[in-house]
Amino acid sequence: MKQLLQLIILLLSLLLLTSCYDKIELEQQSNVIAIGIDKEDEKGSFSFTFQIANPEAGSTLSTIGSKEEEKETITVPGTDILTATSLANSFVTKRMVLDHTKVVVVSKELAESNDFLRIIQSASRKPEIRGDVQIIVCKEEASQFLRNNQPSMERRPHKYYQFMLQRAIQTGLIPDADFHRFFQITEGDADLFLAIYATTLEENEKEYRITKEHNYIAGQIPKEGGNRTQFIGSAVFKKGKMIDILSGQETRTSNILDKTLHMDNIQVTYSDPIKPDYQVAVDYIQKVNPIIDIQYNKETNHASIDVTVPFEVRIIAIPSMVNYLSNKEHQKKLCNTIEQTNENIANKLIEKSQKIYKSDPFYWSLYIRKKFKDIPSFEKANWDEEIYPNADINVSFQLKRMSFGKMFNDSRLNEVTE
Amino acid sequence: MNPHKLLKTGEMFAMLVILLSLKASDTTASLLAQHTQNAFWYMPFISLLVVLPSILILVHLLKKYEDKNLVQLIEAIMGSWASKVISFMIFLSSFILMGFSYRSYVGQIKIMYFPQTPTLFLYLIFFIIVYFAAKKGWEVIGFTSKIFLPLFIVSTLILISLTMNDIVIERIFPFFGSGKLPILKEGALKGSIFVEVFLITIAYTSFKKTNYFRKGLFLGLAFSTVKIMLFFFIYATLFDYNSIVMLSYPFHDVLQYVHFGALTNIETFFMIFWLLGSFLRYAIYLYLVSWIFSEIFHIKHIESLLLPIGFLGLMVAVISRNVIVSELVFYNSISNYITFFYIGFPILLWLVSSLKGEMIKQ
Repeated sequence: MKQLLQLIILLLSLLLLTSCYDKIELEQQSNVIAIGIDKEDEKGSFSFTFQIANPEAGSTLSTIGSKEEEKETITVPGTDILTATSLANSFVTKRMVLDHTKVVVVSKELAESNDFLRIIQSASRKPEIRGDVQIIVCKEEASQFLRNNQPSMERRPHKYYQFMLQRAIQTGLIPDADFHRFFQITEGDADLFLAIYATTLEENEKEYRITKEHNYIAGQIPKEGGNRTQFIGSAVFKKGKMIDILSGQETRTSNILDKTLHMDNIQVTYSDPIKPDYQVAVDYIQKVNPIIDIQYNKETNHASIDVTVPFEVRIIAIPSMVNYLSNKEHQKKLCNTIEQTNENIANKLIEKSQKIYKSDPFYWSLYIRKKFKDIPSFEKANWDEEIYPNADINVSFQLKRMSFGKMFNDSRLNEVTE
Repeated sequence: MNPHKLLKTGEMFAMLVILLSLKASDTTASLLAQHTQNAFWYMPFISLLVVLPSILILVHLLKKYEDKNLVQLIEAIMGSWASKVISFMIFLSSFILMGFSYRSYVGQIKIMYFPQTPTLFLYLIFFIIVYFAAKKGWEVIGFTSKIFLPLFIVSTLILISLTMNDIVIERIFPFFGSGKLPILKEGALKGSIFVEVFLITIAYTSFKKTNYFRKGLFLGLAFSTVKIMLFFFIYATLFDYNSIVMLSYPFHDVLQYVHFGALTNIETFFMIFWLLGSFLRYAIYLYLVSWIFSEIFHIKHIESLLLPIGFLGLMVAVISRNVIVSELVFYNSISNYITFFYIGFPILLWLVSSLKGEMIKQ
């Protein structure tokens, strides 16, 4: 009897575990998936756009024929994100929760102003906004971007951002640009931060500019159909302020040269060395991190940087039908072309960063840190203004292996068509 | 030899590890990083080197005087009047530290997990749980620690493995942080990280063999130091030195950042173990502080002291929350002062004891 009583008391105590004050039911909260921030005319005031997911839409629980939207996009003025959420509650029915925010979209105008760092800093003070929130810079107003973004396949916004960004980051066309990385690089005050660049506006004048590599920035891809939002390229931030845009190809190159970023296989095309009218499509595989060897001279404050990038390729398509498989000479030529092309792109990017940005987007300041005994001397040496712009940089791509996929040889097109 | 007592090396090890290694998850990391920048991850090792001689002396004395605990030892060596002063200083400092870290832990719970709940309410819940845990007595605390320790270690290992992908080893360079001299100074001042080692010697006689206590103490000390350093190393390589200075609770930031594949927002999983750990830590702490008090004033029942001392500790926490705005400044200086005292008193004891020995010989 006594044991039964104890058991009952024990079970009753479970009721206490619902945590009285912070208890909130799933249906009582509005999960904000994307936050857009725009600059207003008045100094220090911004407008915030919240894209709120409707957890009921698209789930099996929703009643058939339900007319509820998947998401709701609202814009309110404010001075920081959290006070804006409370203002938004004057017409949003439920408590706004930022725990599941996936992206923060910032207009290019705001990113280029001094206010960007201020507004992002205040956002990170609250524990709700996590380190893995991605930063997107868009060409238009952020509110416009969020409204225009109407995916037809992944209609639920949290899935959309999760899948879209995951895949685009894997292909290396956009950088991995979370808050965590932003603060490390910006507070580290030595390197450049790359944010995702995206837009929903298609550029008209460049509509038919078809480049053979992925040398696009968002808005320039001459595509038809699909969602009008394009994620490609990156916005370059120096000391928390946007200074330039890199194309998809440049972004990928900087991803390759940066060992802190992880990348999947990517498909790239190179011009055919034998028949230059055609392109050879390959799978670019980066299994090991690039080797960055820095020689640093303390007296002159001069560094020479040797970068070796070992990589592998798998040939996917040879539209020119040149026999690269058995002809050693052709193979060698192709090898050289691939290495050369990569080196050229990398060298161009490095030159641009040395001359124009005066700092690097590759996080290379990590390697020079070993040469210093303590932080004061490291900070005094001034990586981003002194060492890097004057450094001698030598990049070499080394093709370690070339494989030809599961096909032994292409069908002899000449014979087939004859 | 105490054949009727049950505590062994395992319990001692578990209790000391819980007492010490939870420091990896509070503000200690960013406190150290303020002065030493990215050298803070090996600061615990420097601090350990600084306090280790005093710990060794104390253990040596305890061994020499056999079945005496900390307060009894001081009394045997220093005589009744001086011993009261030293013992009371130990009590007072540990009591204040208890109050402050009490506040720090409740602060973490509130900011990270229960923002809507009134702080006083959290204090009370925390206090009630800790009080009932401590009331069960020293041996039950010991067993509970031993049972839960594997869980804590497993959850820690999971967490460490999840961070592996994101750490960048190069961030520990430049190796000497803000310079050799500042880090040596800071490491020495923060010897108070290991204050609990001195406090736990009050339980010297409560083990089956005193040998078990010594073994558990050194194993636990080594293990906790490694664990704290491992965590600090993760903070240093995951956030850079400039970011760590700004984060008050790097542990929770790590929890929020890690994800298990596509599964994000998994901090609540780790929060359970952390919460259990901090409850246990406080139960141990409260018991030790009450024990010291009861020994000083020769009060028989430690359990009857738990409620008033625990409640006064709660008051210290609540009041200090209103008075002191910046924990960083106050806690920092208090832990610096305490270090001198704890390094000093075992040496004093040793000197007096060996002088006495000389005089007896003559």
